[in-house]
Amino acid sequence: MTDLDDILACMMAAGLSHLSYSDGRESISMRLDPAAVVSLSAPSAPPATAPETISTASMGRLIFAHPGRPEDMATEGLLVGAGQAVAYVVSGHAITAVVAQEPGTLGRRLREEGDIVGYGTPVFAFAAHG
Amino acid sequence: MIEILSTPSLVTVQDLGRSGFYRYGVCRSGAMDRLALAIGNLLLGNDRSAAGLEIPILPLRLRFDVDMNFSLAGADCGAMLGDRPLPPCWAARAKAGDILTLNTPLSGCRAYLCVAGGIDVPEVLGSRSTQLRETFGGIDGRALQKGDRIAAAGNDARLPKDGLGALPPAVALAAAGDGVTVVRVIPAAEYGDYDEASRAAFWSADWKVTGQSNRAGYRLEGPDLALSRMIELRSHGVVPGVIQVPAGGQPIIQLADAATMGGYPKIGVVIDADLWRIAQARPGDALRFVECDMAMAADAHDETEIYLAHLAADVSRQYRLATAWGVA
Repeated sequence: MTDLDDILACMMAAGLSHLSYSDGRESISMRLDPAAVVSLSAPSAPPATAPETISTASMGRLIFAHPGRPEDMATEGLLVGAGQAVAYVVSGHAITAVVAQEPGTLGRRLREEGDIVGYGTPVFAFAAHG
Repeated sequence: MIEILSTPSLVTVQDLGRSGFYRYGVCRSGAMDRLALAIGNLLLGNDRSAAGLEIPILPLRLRFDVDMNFSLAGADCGAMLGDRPLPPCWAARAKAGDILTLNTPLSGCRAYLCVAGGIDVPEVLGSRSTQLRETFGGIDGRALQKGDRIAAAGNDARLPKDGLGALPPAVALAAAGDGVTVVRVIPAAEYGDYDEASRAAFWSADWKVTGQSNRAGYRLEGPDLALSRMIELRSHGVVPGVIQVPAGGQPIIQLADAATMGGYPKIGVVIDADLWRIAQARPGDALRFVECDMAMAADAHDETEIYLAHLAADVSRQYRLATAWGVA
């Protein structure tokens, strides 16, 4: 995985958006989403309008309940507060949260349990309050 | 600084413990669930042996006076940072003025609060752990009180903005069995001195954790264990995990704050890699013992070390990516 990080760092440094590599046995393909590039140039720029989706801020395997609380799952219609986790992304033994950035109501799921997601992947439709 | 707004009894500063002073009668002390403390520290980019708070009874409320990265591990206590629920095994950034509330555990018995750089108290005999019986270490050798203010040593790690968690050890590390808390035990020196029925009962019974259980040891309730012949032992060294059987026939598992010596016969020793499971068992819970040997204990130790090494690498990767993507 360290190699992938190095490749990613090179792609970001060189401004590459696609990279494919194969040694005949295994192959990898990496795509740098424009969202990541935008976030680099404007790290904390707030969205101009209320977001209509809640998106990931990391890459890995998407799960909708924390493994330590399997019964506690965010579903459509749930009222959430700012900063509340609504899904998780697992990468090895680390877990990151997919978080509502402002109070609102969860809409439908846009991804399935176990999907491999990248940075900026929309996971839930979202209606921000106010 | 962190100010303790309300606290139950027996919240103490603990690190991984004090070693090298057994000859002076100084026990290991340290976190009862050393795995949880290590996880909490790794999530913050700390050395895994940094000092944190061990919180055996909840609820607890505290206020952050400054912005600070902190993490929670061990028992899932449905923590709230202000009005925001936090997932279990989780690191987050508190803002100055934020109030953290730890509620009654949803599972487990002891929660651990770690802070960036570790809790800043002086080392005594090579450790920051509170030695309650001898009243040194931690904060003046005592449990925390309302109004206590705690400083974090601090570090320059930039936590991902939305927090970062660890795959809980109860999920990542397979237990030796389902249902009750199952721990692996190596038969000890006097195992063979127990009669056959007692030896069979030792492995088959559900041992109830009684209310007389604390950092020094867990008293268990179950079938009486009887020696096949009377033996009298001189006092000898005792380490955390040793299962002694006093005259009544009901076993006691010696734990972090156990005396360094004892004279009761020992029927077994809980392997180090499973002591955290005992630390998270509550009074009323059942324990079951499964037999293992030194080689299996070493494998279990390696499995835990591999889990922690992977976690450290995966966490450090998330830190680097969050910084690269501007979401730290």
